[in-house]
Amino acid sequence: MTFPSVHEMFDPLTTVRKQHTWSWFSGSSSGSISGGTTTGILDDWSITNNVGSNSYGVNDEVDGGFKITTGTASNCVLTLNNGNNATHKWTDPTNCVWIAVIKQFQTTNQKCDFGLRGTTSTGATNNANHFKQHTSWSPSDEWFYETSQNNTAKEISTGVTVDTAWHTFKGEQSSSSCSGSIDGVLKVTMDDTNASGKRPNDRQQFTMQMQNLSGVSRSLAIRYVEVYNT
Amino acid sequence: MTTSSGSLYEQLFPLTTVMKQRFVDNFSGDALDTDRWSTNDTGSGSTATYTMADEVDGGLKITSTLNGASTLDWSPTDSTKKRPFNNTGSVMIVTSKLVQANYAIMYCNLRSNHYTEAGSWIGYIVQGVTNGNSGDNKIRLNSNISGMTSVDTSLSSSVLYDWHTYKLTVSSGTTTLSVDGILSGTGFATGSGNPTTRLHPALVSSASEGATSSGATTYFRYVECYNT
Repeated sequence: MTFPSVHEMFDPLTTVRKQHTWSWFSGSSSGSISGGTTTGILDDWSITNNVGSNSYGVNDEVDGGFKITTGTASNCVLTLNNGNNATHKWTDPTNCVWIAVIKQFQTTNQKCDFGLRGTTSTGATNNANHFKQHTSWSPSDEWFYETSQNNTAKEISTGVTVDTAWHTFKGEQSSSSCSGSIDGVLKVTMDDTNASGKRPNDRQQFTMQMQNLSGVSRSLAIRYVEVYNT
Repeated sequence: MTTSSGSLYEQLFPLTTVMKQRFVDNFSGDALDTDRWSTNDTGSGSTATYTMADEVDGGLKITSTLNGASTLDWSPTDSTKKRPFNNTGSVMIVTSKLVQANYAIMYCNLRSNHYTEAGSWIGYIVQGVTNGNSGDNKIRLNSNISGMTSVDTSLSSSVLYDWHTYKLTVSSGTTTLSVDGILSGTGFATGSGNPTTRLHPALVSSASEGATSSGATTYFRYVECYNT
């Protein structure tokens, strides 16, 4: 099937298009950061330095994507984001989808997450709809799906063991539930039964955060992300 | 017309397939995206320019140095080049145009190297009249792969300076060039072999075969690369 326009790949022209973006994370960008936020690193993405000194850049490997890497000092943290913690959030909390292709480089001694968030901070993950691994949680080697509202969160293990392969993750939000899928398979649904008052109720942005928990560098890579309101 | 899916991802693949590296640049806006692209120039006599053309369907306009080659790629330096494309399974699609001028050449390739390094590359070359060079007035599949010589398309020299869509398909042991969607005969070329290591895209405007009055001028309005 061919389309006369990108608009018509998704909606007829009688439908007013909602916000929809995607990014390929390809190019020659790289750098290091030890404070603040560096904007416009690639496709208008930004890197926020949360703790310590860290680095980022397009990965020089086949299908390498864009990698964020913590420093070696214990608890270094950095976050890929849309530039500002207070603004640039446009997702509809009751009608949106995100899809990302992500790879871990290690599976131990780390806390990382990726998906939608209302903040780039390292503390409470307000308005989260994301996947997370926290090796202090149990089971320490599984992906959790987490949603939150007003800093009150609910996490459910997906039953999927974290590995170092590339995977496709998807998060969806509606007025009655949130759900998370891995490689096209639905893993968790958060509805009023298990997450009442713990689903996003305000705008978010896509973020990807990595923290090392043991004084050893930790990395996370992304080679595609798509976010849109439905 | 019905819609296929809410997501671009699912227009390309089901979510059960993990998407490989892919990118698209539409070369639209007020300036080249230098977070993605690096520029590298050889030669002298004038300053190379990389500008968004203020023309209908203009895209990116590269004017080379007076007697050198001006390259757009993902290699700011030899130690910081980024090469995500597979030397045995990748595709490059480019919509581009060479402006007619003696000694002007446009070539686009997937390459392993920084522009000052030896390396392995394969792509297409559109060559005007240079110095009686065998490639004059031809559009060719072109490479430095060991054992692979340039393979001419049979396109007429009269179409050399038109806009075309070029598709390079690199696979294990074979690389093909298709011009404007042609899959055989005129506008199609096949070569044996593929580069030896991973690749990044390079778009080049070159006057290196001899001096022109103002450098070689080329236009690029679309590029897409992906692993297969």
